[in-house]
Amino acid sequence: METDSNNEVMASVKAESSSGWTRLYVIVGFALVLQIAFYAWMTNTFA
Amino acid sequence: MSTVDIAVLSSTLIAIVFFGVWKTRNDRKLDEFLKGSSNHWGTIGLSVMATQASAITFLSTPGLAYDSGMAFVQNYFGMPLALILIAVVFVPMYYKLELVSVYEFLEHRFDSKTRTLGSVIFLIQRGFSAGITIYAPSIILTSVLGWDMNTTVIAVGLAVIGYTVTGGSHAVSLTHRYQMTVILSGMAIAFGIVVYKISSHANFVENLSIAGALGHLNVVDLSFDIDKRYTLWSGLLGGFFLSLSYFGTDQSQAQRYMSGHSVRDSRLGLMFNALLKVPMQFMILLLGVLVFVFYQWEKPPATFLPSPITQAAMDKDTEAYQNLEDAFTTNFEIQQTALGNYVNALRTGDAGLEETSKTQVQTAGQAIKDSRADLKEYIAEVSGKESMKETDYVFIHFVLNELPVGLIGLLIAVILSAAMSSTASELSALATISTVDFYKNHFVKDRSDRHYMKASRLFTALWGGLAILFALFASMVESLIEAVNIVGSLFYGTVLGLFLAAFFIKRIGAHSAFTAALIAQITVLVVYLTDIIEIGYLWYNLIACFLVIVLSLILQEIIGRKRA
Repeated sequence: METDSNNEVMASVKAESSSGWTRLYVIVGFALVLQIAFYAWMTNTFA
Repeated sequence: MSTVDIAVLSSTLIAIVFFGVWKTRNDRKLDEFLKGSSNHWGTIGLSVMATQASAITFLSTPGLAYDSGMAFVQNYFGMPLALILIAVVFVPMYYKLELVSVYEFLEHRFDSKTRTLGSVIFLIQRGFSAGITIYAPSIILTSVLGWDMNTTVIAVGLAVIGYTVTGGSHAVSLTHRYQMTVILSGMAIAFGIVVYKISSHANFVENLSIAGALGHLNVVDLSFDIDKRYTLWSGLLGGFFLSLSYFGTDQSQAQRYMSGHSVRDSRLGLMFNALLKVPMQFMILLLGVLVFVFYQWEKPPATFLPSPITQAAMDKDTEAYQNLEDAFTTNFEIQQTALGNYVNALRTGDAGLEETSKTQVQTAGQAIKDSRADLKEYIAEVSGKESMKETDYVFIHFVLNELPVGLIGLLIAVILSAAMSSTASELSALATISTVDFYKNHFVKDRSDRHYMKASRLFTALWGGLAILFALFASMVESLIEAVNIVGSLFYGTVLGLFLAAFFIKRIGAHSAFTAALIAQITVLVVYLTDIIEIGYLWYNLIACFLVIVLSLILQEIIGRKRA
């Protein structure tokens, strides 16, 4: 599969990226992991 | 319903509709009408949430948890990841191209016919589901409350058409803010009330232990069994692709987050949902589980089906019906003793006693379930309505019988607000696509903004009218809801495949993409209609998406060789 990092899509992604946004996405991902861990704990504890 | 409830219900709904019409009465800009304008990220976040949450979410989801527990929440695990991808890749591109219709992107990347294909697919599936969005909650509410079905459908439909025609996408975003406020506060109050009610029997942790003992706190399933409907892995993978198609390529959602002031607002609105949607869904399911626990302590009806149906079954053979109801009552009484023993064992900390009493609770729980199933089977047999879904009536039964006066009206307002909010997004998106992708693009070009605004208002009213007509003449609610899901699954994958090819695979050209999409769509329809392979309809999403990408690459290779 050929992808072109210089194409229009990647250019717009790069133009709108920053370390602040990356940090936010990591926080959202981490929140999901924490939730799944909590739900797994809940399942093990009560089910 | 009491006069107070009717007053609360009607004043809440009228206030929202009036607010939508009033705030947008001076809107004159086409862009504002079609896209909404300069919304703050908080408004976008609530609007995206309100679009996804239909009335059925609040009627059926607690009922689903009542019946089978919490596992359904896993379906949402892939959603935050899909929203991150959309925020990173899709949103900047949509803004850069200043899109009104997301299918314009397909023309920008491929050609006009591929854009038209995407738009046609959207109009088919959304046009179909707009009617169901009004019809499904109406049939449940009218059968329980004794309202007139036609009046309910027309009143809800006209209210939505009223503010959507006046203010377009701008009014939809504004009203979503208040509809979500009503929805979230109503659900929070219902949650508080059920917690309060069960606390008179046992504390919160003991009640959760009862739910767990009866198999209702099975939130996460780590097994790799593909036959299971909800597992962590199917939720992450299936939920990811489903959310990617719904939020990334469906105009009714894209229009919500593209109404932002900037890329920043759209992204923050999406991240708002990425953070809050899973917990919200979890809380709605937990509410259903707590209602289930409440009905372990307090005797529920032997069936939650509405009385016109149960009465007909009772009239047919009173003795048979009574025997089945008595069996349920006996099992319920046995459960009371078992629950008392289990709570005492939890309090004393005696592990042996805890295990014995837990088994008693489980045995009695299963007996209750069996006796309810027997009664339901009997009612279905007598009434000839085999597809009746009892779980849809559980939460509304709890609301009508356990909530105080005033709050009943608020909770019915929650359900109707949800119906109105998702319908409004659908009508607005259908009108936008009809105006931008067809009317303006193919038929009447180069006219003034005022002209297109009038056309868009007319399309909104037309789609709204069609939705009302569909809801008035629809029947067999369950098969129709399923039909909407099936139609969605049959068409979503093709559109997602086109967008993924457009975004990520530069070498795929217009002809390859269009031909591959057509072949994929026809293949999926043939497989579905002929039953060549028996698979769950949700898989058609992935199959069509995969086919579009693989076939596009193969066709592109062939075209490339011919040219060489």
